[in-house]
Amino acid sequence: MLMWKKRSLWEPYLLLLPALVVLGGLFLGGVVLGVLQSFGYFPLIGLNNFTFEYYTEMLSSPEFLDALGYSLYISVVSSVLAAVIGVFLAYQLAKLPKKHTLVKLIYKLPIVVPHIIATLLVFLFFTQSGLLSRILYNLGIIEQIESFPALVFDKKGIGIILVYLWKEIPFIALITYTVLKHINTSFEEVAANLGANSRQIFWHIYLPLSLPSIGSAVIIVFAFSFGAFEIPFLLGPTYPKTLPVMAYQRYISSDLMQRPYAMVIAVVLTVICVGLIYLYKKSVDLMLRYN
Amino acid sequence: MVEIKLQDITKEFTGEEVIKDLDLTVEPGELVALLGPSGCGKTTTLNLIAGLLAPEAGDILFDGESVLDVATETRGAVLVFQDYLLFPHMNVADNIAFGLKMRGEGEESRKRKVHDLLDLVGLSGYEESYPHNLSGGQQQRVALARALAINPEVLLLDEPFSNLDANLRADMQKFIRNLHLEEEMTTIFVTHDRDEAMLIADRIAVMNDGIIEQYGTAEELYKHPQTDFVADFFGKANYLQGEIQNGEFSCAAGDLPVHEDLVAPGIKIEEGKELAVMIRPEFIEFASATEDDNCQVHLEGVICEKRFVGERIFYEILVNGQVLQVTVLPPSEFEIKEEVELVLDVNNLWYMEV
Repeated sequence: MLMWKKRSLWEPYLLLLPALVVLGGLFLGGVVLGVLQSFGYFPLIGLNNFTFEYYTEMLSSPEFLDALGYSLYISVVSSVLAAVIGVFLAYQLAKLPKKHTLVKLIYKLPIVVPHIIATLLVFLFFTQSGLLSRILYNLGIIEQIESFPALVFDKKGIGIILVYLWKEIPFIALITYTVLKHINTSFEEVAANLGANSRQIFWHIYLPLSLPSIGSAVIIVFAFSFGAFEIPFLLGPTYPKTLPVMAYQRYISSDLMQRPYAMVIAVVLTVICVGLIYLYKKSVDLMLRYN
Repeated sequence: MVEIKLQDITKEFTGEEVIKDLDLTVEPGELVALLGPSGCGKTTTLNLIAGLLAPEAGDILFDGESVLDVATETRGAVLVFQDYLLFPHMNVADNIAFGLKMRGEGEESRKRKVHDLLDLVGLSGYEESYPHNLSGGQQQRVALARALAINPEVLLLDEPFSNLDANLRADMQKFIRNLHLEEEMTTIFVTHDRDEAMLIADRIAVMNDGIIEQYGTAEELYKHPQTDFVADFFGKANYLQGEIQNGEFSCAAGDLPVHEDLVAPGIKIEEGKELAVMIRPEFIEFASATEDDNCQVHLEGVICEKRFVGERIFYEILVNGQVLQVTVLPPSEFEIKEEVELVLDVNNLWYMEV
């Protein structure tokens, strides 16, 4: 028995070793290397001294601050809009009678379609020479194709936000719908019996009970859009860039001296994402509180 | 105080009738129990009165006016659910104040009301507690306070004591009874516990299979059941089959006197009529030498079974080939195979069709 107990201490770790090697070597190793490089330790190109120089320089540069602001703006707007629309959609779906299975299937489709396809979709429809613009032109609603508002490659990031919304609304709706379906419908009866109308039931019963789940879904969505690179890269303006795009461009630069700057941005992104994980854990704890 | 009247109520679930042409009148300020086995439709009846379900046919009247078109939100019949269903994301104070808040009542008056109600249900100081930190009994009282907060004219309780342990149960039963008297409400509660119904209710509606078998006071139901279902629900019973001959009831145990007061409503006493007499085992006594009363029926038999169960003794006695159950209080000196003489009060005979 004692032998078994002793063995059981290290046995799980031994069994997990293959996964841990990959995780520790590739992921943590990458993070450690990135952090080292951000502090100016990059022996490969002759940088051997630790310094905060790259941090101070990067964090005070207007380009970085604009990129940070732009990234936050896109993530906040797309996540909040996706949350509001997604929750509304989920509530409507939850109220649908059982027979509408097709509707419940269709809204999930965007979840399985890759972001890159959604990007193409937005590109085809919403550029100034896109389908929508041409249709409006041919209908005589706009006089020139150029008078179609710039929704893609624009500083307001509407194209990017549209892609995120297209992907994220169904995701949030799916999670919220599942949670709503598991909320005891008797609570609704209790509330109605005590005099609550259907709007009050939504605001005072369903929304607060599903809020922790909605919160964690929003955090996932926010973290993704904040750290995603391909969509702002393809649909964003040349300035301001988002942080991941900025880090990417510094990273692929032929000037290797740009690497520490790229790593500073990567570390900032990592820190913010770790903060979000903490918030996510908190909201999961809140969720479990009701069980 | 509201009078509640259910007229010819029919309710179906997926094509199956669970309530069939049900009629029930509850007087203003009355406390009525719906009693029956599980699946008999008593909770459905409660939900219909609360407005959480709508009947397929029939009408529900409060003080003579139909409330079928009045939504549950405004009907004024508040239901306390069997599993309490306190809102898990609200503390006790917010749970109790919920109905008031929905009506737009101000914070000050809500606070005052919550304070008073917690006082009433004996949970002062629990304002900030969350439901998952409360015991079953405490949750039950919070659920009750939440219902009382909006001053319901009709209070509906679904198995209010089923999740409580025996001591708490007795306390809460007394509490509900007193509360009903103080708050001047019309109260209907559902239970499957006969003793509970008899202890608390003014009148009891015995339900079975979607209909009301009988509606009356505890004593009426016990002594004068109209069906064998009711008779059996309210205790043990001996049934002796026989027929009317020469103005007397003739059965295997002998001839028994019969008159109108002893016969279930709707049955005519006429020569040759086949009936059964229902005799509660506890109404039969062993004859002692001293007593002699004209009002008594005398039977002779042999003890064939004896079971001692603490506060009572169950006998089975063979009377002219017919086994009679007899329940008496100890001490009792009779043994198996002993010949005994039994007496019972004529007024405790009850004739019915079984």
